[in-house]
Amino acid sequence: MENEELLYDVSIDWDARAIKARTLALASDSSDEINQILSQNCKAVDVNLLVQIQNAIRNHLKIEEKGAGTDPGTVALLVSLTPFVKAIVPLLKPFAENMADVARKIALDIWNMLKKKLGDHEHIRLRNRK
Amino acid sequence: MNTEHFGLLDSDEKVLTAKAAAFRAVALNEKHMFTDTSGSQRSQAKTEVLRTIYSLHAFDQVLNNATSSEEFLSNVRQYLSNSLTVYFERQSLSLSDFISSFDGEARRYKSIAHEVDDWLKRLMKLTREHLRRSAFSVKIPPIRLNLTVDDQQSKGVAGKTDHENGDRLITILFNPAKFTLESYFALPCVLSHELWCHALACCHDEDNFVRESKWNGCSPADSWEEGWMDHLQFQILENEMSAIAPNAAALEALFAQCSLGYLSARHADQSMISRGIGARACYAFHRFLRQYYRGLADDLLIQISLDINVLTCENELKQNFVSWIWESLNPDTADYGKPVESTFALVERRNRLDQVLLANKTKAESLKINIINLLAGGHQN
Repeated sequence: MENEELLYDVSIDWDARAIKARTLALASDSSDEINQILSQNCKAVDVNLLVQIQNAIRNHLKIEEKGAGTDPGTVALLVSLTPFVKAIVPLLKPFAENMADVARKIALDIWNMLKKKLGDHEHIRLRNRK
Repeated sequence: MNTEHFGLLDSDEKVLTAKAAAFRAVALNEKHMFTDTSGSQRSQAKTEVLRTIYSLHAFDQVLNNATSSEEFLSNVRQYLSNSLTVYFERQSLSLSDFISSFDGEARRYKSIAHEVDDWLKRLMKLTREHLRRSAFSVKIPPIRLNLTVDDQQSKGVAGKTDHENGDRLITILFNPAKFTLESYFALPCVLSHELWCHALACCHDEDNFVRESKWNGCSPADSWEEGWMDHLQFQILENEMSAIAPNAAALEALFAQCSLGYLSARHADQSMISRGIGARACYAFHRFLRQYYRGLADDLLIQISLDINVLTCENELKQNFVSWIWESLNPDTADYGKPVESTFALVERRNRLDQVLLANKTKAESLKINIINLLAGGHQN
């Protein structure tokens, strides 16, 4: 399975812990969006799956700093989707074939949705790190 | 053939080494070059000399990768002589002393990469001595050094630490165009910061050293690693400068001054609020320890700080520690009773603090302890 590690630059006013807390809060309020993502990727969904996915976000979405340095520009925000993807693969068994690929797509779509909400609602802009 | 020195290209390494040698020559001859017996000083002369050295990064010979180090330094010597002759004659200064010092320093330290590596080896010896006395079992991770050039960075020198396959990788980044005298003489502080603050964080050997590093990094504004530990590392560096970067007194003094300048600018940075508070909390704690434990204060500050830094736990616990100290020591100047005379009492209280932190390291949110009270012999809360 590919290692989904995403690196971002972010304002020094936000550390990884604060960003993660905001992300989890947004995820709790994003049932409709998550349901829509599940419907787009699975042949069927039920309310249990939604709850399990939200639990997996809370327990397995990894957001932390990568590295440390005297110049703020040297520190990146690392979002690792791999633990989250691994956690949701078995949840998709009744609902999808090619569970690993579907899990990865769902994880990416959910993360992109949450990243957009971080920017729109919390004014936390995550810029792709080159 | 372009060879690499710890990651630096040959050409970059030559320029940086030449600059370092020239800076050292300036520092060694500063008094008789730029002041006189009447008490006046020649600041314009110094500006002129430094400007000429700063321009070395654009020196044509850099482009000739086939030039040996000796040939390159010879060309630099000639360049400095030609550029400064008229000015020195006008000022009736002795150019030959400066050039002679440049030659001596260039011979003494042939490579800036090896100079930095030598400092790191000496710092590592110091870390082993201190961590041998840690209350916790510590497994120092393998530490590797990398030097590189970043033309985009705003300062002449910066540092960063990452983890790779269980190793801690310290990288020193140079911007040759901005590599000033202050940049060079702050290098030991940059290196010391990366080592003490980050490379040694979270290496408590609780599980017989799990291969994967439990340290990933921290925010640039982190109150513990970037603030408290940064203040601490400078205390160690200043006290041990002779052991880390042994030099003539004039150079050691400049290493200390420029390191302090670099550190002060970091902690006074108005955009890094938590970092500044962390550094000031360490200062306040040290003051408390001096008042209460007197001659043992310096050693106690180092040992407590290193113990907490090696602890593998949520960053939040270490940040909470900073907050608790800050809240306890501000704004009142409470009287905590008579200074402690017995080292037994000190050891016993320090061990109690360590055990409280170790037992609660997974409960950062719920744990709150009155550290000052604990160290002053009172109850935990």
